[in-house]
Amino acid sequence: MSRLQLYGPFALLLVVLVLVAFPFYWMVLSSFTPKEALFRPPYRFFRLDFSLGNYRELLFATEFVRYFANSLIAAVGAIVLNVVAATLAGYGLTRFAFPGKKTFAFGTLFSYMFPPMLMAIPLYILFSALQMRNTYTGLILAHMAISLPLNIWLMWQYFQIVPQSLEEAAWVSGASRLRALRQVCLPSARPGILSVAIFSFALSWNDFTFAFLLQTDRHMFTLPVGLANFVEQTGVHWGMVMAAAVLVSVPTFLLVFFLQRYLLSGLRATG
Amino acid sequence: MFIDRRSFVKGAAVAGAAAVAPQVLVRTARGQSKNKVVFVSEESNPKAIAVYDKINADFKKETGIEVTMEYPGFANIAKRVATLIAAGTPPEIVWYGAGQAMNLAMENQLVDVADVIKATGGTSENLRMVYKGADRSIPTSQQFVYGWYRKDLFQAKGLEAPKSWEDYLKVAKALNNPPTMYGCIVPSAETGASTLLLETMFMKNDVHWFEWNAGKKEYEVALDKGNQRKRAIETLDYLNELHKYSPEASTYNWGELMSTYFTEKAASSWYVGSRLLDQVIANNPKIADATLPFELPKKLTDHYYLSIQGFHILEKSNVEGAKKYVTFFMKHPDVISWYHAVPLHIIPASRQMLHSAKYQDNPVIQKRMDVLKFLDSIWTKGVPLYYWDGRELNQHIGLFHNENLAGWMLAARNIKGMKSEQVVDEAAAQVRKKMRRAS
Amino acid sequence: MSANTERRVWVLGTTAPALVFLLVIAYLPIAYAVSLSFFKKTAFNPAMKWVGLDNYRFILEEPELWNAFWRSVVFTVGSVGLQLVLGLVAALLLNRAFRGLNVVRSLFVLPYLLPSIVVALVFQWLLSQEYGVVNQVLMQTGVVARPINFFGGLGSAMWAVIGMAGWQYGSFATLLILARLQAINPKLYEAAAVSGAGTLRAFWDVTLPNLRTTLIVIALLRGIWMFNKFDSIWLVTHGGPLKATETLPLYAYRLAFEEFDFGLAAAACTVMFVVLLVGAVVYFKLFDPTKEIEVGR
Repeated sequence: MSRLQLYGPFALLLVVLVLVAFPFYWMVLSSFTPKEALFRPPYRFFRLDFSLGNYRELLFATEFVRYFANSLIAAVGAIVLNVVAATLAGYGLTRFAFPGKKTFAFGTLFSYMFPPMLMAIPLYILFSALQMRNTYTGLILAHMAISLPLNIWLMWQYFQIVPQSLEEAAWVSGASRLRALRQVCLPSARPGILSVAIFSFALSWNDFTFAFLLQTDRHMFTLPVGLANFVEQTGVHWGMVMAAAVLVSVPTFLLVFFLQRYLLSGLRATG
Repeated sequence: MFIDRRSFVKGAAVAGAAAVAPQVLVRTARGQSKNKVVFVSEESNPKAIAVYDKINADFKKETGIEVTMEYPGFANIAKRVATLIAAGTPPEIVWYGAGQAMNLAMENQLVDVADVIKATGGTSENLRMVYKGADRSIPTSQQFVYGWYRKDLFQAKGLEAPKSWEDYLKVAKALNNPPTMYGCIVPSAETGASTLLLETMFMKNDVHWFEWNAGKKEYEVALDKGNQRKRAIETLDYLNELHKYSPEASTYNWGELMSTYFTEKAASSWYVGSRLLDQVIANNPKIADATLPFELPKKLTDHYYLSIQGFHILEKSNVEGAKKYVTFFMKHPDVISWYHAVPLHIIPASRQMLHSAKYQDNPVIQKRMDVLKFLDSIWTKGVPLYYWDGRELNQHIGLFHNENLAGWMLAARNIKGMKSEQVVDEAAAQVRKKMRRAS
Repeated sequence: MSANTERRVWVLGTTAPALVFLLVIAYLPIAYAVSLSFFKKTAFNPAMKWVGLDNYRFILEEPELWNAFWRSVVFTVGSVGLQLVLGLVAALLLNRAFRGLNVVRSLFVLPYLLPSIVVALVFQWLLSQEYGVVNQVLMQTGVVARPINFFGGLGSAMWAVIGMAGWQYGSFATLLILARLQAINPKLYEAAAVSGAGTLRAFWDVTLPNLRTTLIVIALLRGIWMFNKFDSIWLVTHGGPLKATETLPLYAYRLAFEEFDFGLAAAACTVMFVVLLVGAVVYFKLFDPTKEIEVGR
């Protein structure tokens, strides 16, 4: 093999890695840079004078911790409900024939297509009537509106590759359908379930539109809304903003690092 | 395809029900609660929030009414109020600019508040917002548009605060040294900051969007006619010159006006108040003492855009509770702390209060009495945009001002490079179009 | 319990939760939103007035709608294209075992999991005309003489936004393509090598056909998502400068919350929805991504 063929791919990988990783690097570095240094560009690429000032300001002078907690609660709720609903629906869609199945399947895709922004207003009206604005329940349900369709599709695809023979074997040995579902199907579908969990987390953690319109009490702000808010009133404090960005990225990175094995095999099923 | 007639009919019925259901829900949603007041406030500075919390607690003790606060931020407050009203759940009180509140008044969503104004000591004539013969706003504070400059940098070049348009150009040019330092900041985006700058400079050059037709007893668009057009073009061309000594600022809003200044990238800036000074003290205190206010230079007049904030009470809400609250608020001893939340930025509506010892008893104000004296010196020169064209309140302002049409003009001139004539004509056409659609 | 009843219980039990959720949280609001487009409703007034197709007539004649539509198309095609290219390149490169692969793969998926506001702020910081490090590097290496106003420049704003969306969502494509790549039977490559095919030929004959469905699904899902994308673009440019990045979702937002005309905004959103529906139907007919997917054994 020529030198190019041997080292080419690695060099290209390095370039791509830099493109993907540099924003993170800069984000982290800026978050540890003292405020005064941030006022004076040009900036150095490496520095040793780290400062925790930005973090201190973020955690104590703003309500960042509360926003973080709110986002986390909403995301966990979205994961749980999505997993339950999507798994059940996926199972039902693949194991039974019933009328309207195709409509149901296409219907879920169509709801995925509607601009979330305009769904927010009717949802707002609905939740106001049900006294569900500024609640966790309301926000979780709103997040499900955008993630459930995709997840149903995912689990539908995924259950298609979990062979029915496994279940049949369990029935033959006397297990009820419910037991077979629990003990045979679910473990095989675990990668798919984990993918659903991760996508639900991403869509909920990420959401700005619904949180912005539905959560108006500042105690209930999620991270995206809280961040957007404090950036506005006062001039942009880049150091503090980058510190917030770092803190927001850490849990997602951990989540992905430990679960990404499942994520990949889960995605194999969709295609 | 995959829909047969029966399921289509079923689907249509469901869709019809779905369309109607929210209407029904909306009607049931709003049970008039006499014990609740929702108060949406533009000011979300932590010190202001602390004052709200205290006053609300005292109010609850005295009347049993629970006050819930919402702080959407000044860029989003109009949207928040709009959404609340659309959903049939109007808030009781909105505290923000009277200019923005005019949109609500025009849709007959604001109640008559003359009684509250009377109960809280009255107000001066130029601060009233009168629509269909009734007061719709209880003014509490105002903000002036003026400049800020670095006295140290100016003095180093033997310069002083500019007193004329040519002067301002000269000074900006002399101090301009991109990209480390810019002479001034001319925001040129479809944002509030750009809008207020152009409106103020229009006032300095005696440019009017409308003129009063005494015969028809109504306002007509005048921006693209005769002398108005000439002066509007002149103002745009001037700001285009000035823009050469400013960052491109095609994304700038209020935050950038402050941060570009306090990160020492601009020798002068401007703001709709003293929040800029407040931010300088917080972020870069060593240039605070050298940060001084100056009047944006006059051309034909020395007027400037006056921003008035106040309480507005909405129809179909707990009006009685709201009126009680506003009266309570204005008479509460802690209300002075509210004015002190961003000292010198939230200017009292009453000049008396400005001169009072109680108001001046604040460390920041004491340290910067020069700013207070400056504000006093330009006190009478501010004009709210809806009284600029005549004695009658010009309600058409609400049609285009809050959408930042003036900001668009600056952006079109400075970023897109459109000719001033074209910009002015196009802006006037836009206003006429909106007037037609509104009628 | 009879077998038939039991079966019914199962069918209902498994699909009902999802169905109920979707009905209440998605279909009801959509129906309401679409119905809103037939009324005149301004935000400051709770009353609504039936106007039939007036909103549609007005909006379809508005040049701003068509401009926004064009920008949506440009943004969608640009960002999906970028994501596919980046995804393919990255997946191909990652499709070999090496130490630290797990860390690298986690790194690749991270952009997708960040909230849009964070991505928006980080990119504003990186690409800022006055404070951005990208401009700093470009000037220090002499590539440009003056800093580029990425998000504020009339010509550059759309490209900057496409680039940002590519960075944020490219990892979605990377993961799906990588998963598919790793499921391709290695024997197919051996067969290709035996018949004398080089790397490029093998790619064309073996890799691409197997990736076909994956790429089509990614393009569909990402296409829908990018067409409807609101927060990323809005948070970073607010549609500016001078509407250069005002795509249909941003236009609808402006109608609803800056011109305060909910009826018009609903009409704009319905137009978007119809466009996507038509697009999806055409897409399905052309490519049929529901064809049963073969998974490598």
